[in-house]
Amino acid sequence: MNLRRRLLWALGLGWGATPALFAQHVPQEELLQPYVGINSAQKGRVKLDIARLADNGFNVPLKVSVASPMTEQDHVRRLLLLSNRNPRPLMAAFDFGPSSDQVLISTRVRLGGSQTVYALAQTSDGLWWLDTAEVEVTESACLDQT
Amino acid sequence: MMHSRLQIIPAKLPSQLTTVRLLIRHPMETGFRFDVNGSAVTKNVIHTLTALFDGKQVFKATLGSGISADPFLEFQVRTPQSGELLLQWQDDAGETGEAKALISLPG
Repeated sequence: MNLRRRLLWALGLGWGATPALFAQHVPQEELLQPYVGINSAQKGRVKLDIARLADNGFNVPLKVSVASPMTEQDHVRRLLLLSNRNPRPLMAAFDFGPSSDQVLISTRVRLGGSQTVYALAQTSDGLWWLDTAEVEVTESACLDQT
Repeated sequence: MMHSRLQIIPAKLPSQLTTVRLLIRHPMETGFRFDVNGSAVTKNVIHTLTALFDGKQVFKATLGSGISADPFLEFQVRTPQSGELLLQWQDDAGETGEAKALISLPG
């Protein structure tokens, strides 16, 4: 194999490996599996408030609330913010206890392109609750080199 | 010492919530960026943030590179009585920061 052919071959290999390197939309089951395990998350209780159109992916404000009485018996244990396109899907995790009151969080996240943002909450009975929001991002936060 | 701004909106009644707003000056470096020389910029994000009220943990946040530079965080705490709220955080470079404020409830 001459050098030129070898280079072309390497280029082809690089092209083939591209989808794995470049950020792709992760399917919901695959995205949630590391957190919920064999359980499944159901829609409800969580409310994710985020603008449908984000001009700047570097700085997307969002608000999450979880309906819960926040008592010793019934409270929110964990709240996760997930992205199905960022190179690191877990954007933030928040831990609560019965001493926390109403779960209402606002923060600002980076989004590497148009995608679905997931807010996943676990209540003290072990159930997972979910809310999703589609976001169009005009200018992506280049979290990787895409 | 990292620059930060902490705003507390105390509850007006004992049954209500206290809102805590925190803004920290931090680049939240993702580790995916390259500088002008082409060398990778090491990842440096604030990874943990805890809120203690009178020495007891009331809130904990684990942050990642998906959080914007100069992270902003707003959350609620229940404070049955007046006391001191202490927020502490740590980044990947080992640098720590803290902010504290007195929550004074009426009555």
